[in-house]
Amino acid sequence: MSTKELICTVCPNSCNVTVELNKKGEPVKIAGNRCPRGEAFAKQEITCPMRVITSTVVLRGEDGRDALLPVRSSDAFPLSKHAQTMELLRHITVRAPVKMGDVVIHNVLDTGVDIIASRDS
Amino acid sequence: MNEFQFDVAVIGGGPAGMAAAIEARKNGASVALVERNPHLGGILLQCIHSGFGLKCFKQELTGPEYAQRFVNQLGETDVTVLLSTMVLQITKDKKVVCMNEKGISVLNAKAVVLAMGCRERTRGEIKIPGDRCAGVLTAGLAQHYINIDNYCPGHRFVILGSGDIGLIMARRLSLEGMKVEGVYELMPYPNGLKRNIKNCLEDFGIPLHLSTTVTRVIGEKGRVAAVEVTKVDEKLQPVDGTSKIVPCDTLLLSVGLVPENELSAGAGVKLNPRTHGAVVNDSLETSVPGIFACGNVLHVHDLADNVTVEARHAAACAAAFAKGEQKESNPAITVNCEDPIGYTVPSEIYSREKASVLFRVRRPVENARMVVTSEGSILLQGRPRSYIPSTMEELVLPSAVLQKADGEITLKIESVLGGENP
Repeated sequence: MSTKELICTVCPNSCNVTVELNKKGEPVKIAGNRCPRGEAFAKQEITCPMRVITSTVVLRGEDGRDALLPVRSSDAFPLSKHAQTMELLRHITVRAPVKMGDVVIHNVLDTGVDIIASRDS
Repeated sequence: MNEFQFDVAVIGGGPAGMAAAIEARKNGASVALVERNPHLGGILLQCIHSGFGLKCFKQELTGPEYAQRFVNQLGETDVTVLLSTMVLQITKDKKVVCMNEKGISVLNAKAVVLAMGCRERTRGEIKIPGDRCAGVLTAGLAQHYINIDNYCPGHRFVILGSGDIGLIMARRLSLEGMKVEGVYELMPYPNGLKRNIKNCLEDFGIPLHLSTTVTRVIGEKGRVAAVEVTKVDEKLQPVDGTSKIVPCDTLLLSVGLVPENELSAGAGVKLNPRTHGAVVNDSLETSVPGIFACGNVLHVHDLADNVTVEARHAAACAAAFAKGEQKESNPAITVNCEDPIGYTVPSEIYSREKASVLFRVRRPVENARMVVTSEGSILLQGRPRSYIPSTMEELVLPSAVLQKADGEITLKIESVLGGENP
């Protein structure tokens, strides 16, 4: 039996959540969260932490000039796959015009989430 | 010189200014929005990380997405947006003198909303001794270099200050393959949001050193080669014999933000020495009638969503002022606060219906309750809880409390002694 202290990042309340783990490292008791979303978050955090990734890709403007386009994942996906995703993003060039929400990479690394544009350009 | 008439002139096209312009227009005012950059969005455009919109849109957006929503909304209005336009002066009688490619023009406004945001504190303001070499920059400048300009400002970083921008940059640099040696914080507690400590430092194994500061910058051939870090005591003084040399090529500073109030001061707006923003009443009106303030130019916020909410309130009040609607005729209630509360916004309340008071504590307090008094008698008591400086707090004063207030109210946070149940 061991315990782990977490900060719930679902909303700005930032609850301090205590998770009791059994010998196999599975969560058995979750306390400190002020809403049910905190419990789901803590379980996920113990088994496979999920995050949204944000970065930039090269944007080739209509005038031929390069700028940066901010991008994000459409949803959270395993943190363990973020480094590999960054490597993919480094080699991508998108052509203007782009609308917020346009897909830059579909189903990145088979995670089921897309990399999408964060703004119009 | 061209002159134009508007009901409301909004100064600054970041989150505060855009929300204010939209809201003032909704309230029937003719509106001009003046922005010095060639695009709207302000600092949101370089804040490519997510965490925006949880309050206003009930979903987690990135900075550019948050900005884009307001840009789109503005596009559907007939607000006059002046880009690449610098405001040179605002006068007491609400003439806004602007300059752009076409020359100088004057906006004659019935009301003005100040929404110029803030700027970062620099090395000079915190006086770090040592060599004056390249490689010392503010975290927000590094953020602009990396996220907008595609420059690489360094390879091996030390970050001084655990403010949110510093934490966000620690993650950003790590993702981009640069090394972050550590984040050093003078205070014994972190200054950023808890979610950022977790997602930006813990996820990347970046150490956070509390009660430790940079005491010297060491340069070689004109560039940072290392910094000396030293532990500090309770009085924040460096402790002899605890210094360590940390090799690095760049020192990022995330040591606080200061509202940008040169224009406000020029208009005769009275400033609060604690927030460096304007002194305002519950309509967010400054000491100059018809000039209102909102967002980070008023006081530094930790969430853009709170800026939006505040801006809408300021704009609604500005639109009402422009229409000549009568203000509340009640006598003012002065809002005082006692340590550990550092400041309150507003400092005066006229409404007797409901008033929102925003405040921040100067240091963390555990198991303490909010107590509101007026001339010695207790009007309101909160439940015991903890308060931290990095979180801006809101206290909503109901009509019952405002009715009972006798010319002033005082906000206190009192420790709860003994074993009272929270």
